Amino acid sequence: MNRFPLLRLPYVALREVILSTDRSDVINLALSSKNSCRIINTTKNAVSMRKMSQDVIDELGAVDRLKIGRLENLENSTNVIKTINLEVSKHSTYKISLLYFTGGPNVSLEQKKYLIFELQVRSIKDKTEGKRKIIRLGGTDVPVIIKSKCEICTLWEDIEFGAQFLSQHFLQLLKLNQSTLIVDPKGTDGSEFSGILKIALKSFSKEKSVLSIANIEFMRDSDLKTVVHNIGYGTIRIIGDRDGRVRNTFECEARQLVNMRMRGRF
Amino acid sequence: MSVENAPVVDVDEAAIPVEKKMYYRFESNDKKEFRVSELAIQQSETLNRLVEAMGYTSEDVENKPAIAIENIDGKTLKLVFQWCEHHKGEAIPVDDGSVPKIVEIPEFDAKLMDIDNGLLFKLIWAADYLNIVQLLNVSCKKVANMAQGKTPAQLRRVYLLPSDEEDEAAKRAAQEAQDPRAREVEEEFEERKRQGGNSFF
Repeated sequence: MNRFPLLRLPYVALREVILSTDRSDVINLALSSKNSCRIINTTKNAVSMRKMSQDVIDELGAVDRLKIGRLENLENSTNVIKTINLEVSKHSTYKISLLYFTGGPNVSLEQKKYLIFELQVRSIKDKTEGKRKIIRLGGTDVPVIIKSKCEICTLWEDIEFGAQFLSQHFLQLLKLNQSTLIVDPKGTDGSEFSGILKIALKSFSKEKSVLSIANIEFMRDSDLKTVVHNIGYGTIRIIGDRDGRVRNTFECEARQLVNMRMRGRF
Repeated sequence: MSVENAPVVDVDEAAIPVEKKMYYRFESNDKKEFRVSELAIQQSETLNRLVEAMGYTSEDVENKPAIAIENIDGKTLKLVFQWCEHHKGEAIPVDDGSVPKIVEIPEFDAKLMDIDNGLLFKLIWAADYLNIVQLLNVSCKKVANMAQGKTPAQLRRVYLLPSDEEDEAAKRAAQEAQDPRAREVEEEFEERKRQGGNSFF
């Protein structure tokens, strides 16, 4: 292989190389070592949310967003809030958002920067439209369809395994500050839904987290028990149909309970 | 114009051009001499300022010794001057601030830079030293293109980048190498204190 001693270049030349490198390639270069990342962030082709403008962040492709999430984790900045919305539903999705802020959490919108991406978990047998690609996640090649700048659809022979893999991957990849578990049983297959729900709960950070249950009237008692039993949530939001009803009583623990469009006693 | 036909000439293998324009003489660190036109020199901010400051006449150019460029060897300097001659008279590009920078590599430049990476490294180093903006742009773009589609692990191999572990090990080794001297200084300081001296330096 033809090799080039990049770091031995004088700084002006090294900066020129970095400035001429395409965004996706410079992100990979930043991931190659902490030192490379530090040097890249001294240039205008920076890969840190601290340095990138919101316009640049908005232009990033889905895979690059995933990598920026990883880089932010390596940088360990206290100014980035990393949240994950884990949705267990007919179409399970891991929605990850990074919020960068300067000068404290009560700053204006202009001082905040957002990076959002989501990974959907689908069966490889599903007819999902789009060109299939392979991306490497945690040392494993995963077939995907990149649906937009923010959406990556991951395809699995076994959806439960896929959910478990992604949960573990993100637990290792991102030190999350906040997490929300969104549960929507409507239109799901009973056993598969229960399985994924259990996996999601295992990987879900319980501290200061939010549980949001939609269409609770479709929730099986056993699943409801799984999701609320012995777990102290920060907030529980229950959303149902206007005329729906909670079929059974259940116990839950949360600092805040929000009941929306639901009949029943709480 | 092809790379081979570029008008840079080694003094021992070509005749002095008959044009009336002034040709300056430069000498590399391995004693190779080159004649370069006044217009071509303008591509290099460093050399342009140097010849302006020297204020040579046509006679001076011929009678005085060649201007020594001590940091660059003949092989590299030949490429540099071939590039300058080919692009003489062209405007020096101004950075428009676009990121990533949009740089096109012309065919002549691509052929000129069809060289091994060791020589490419020297060419970039020379372009930086002589402040030849566009040569620095195209040569750095060539290096940037090596990153296309590579994974972080492949980039470490292509660009000879140490991994985090290797960086840590090098840092520890450097600290350990420094320690004996630090200990010596400390011992010397303690000894002087014992002797009652209150100033160390």
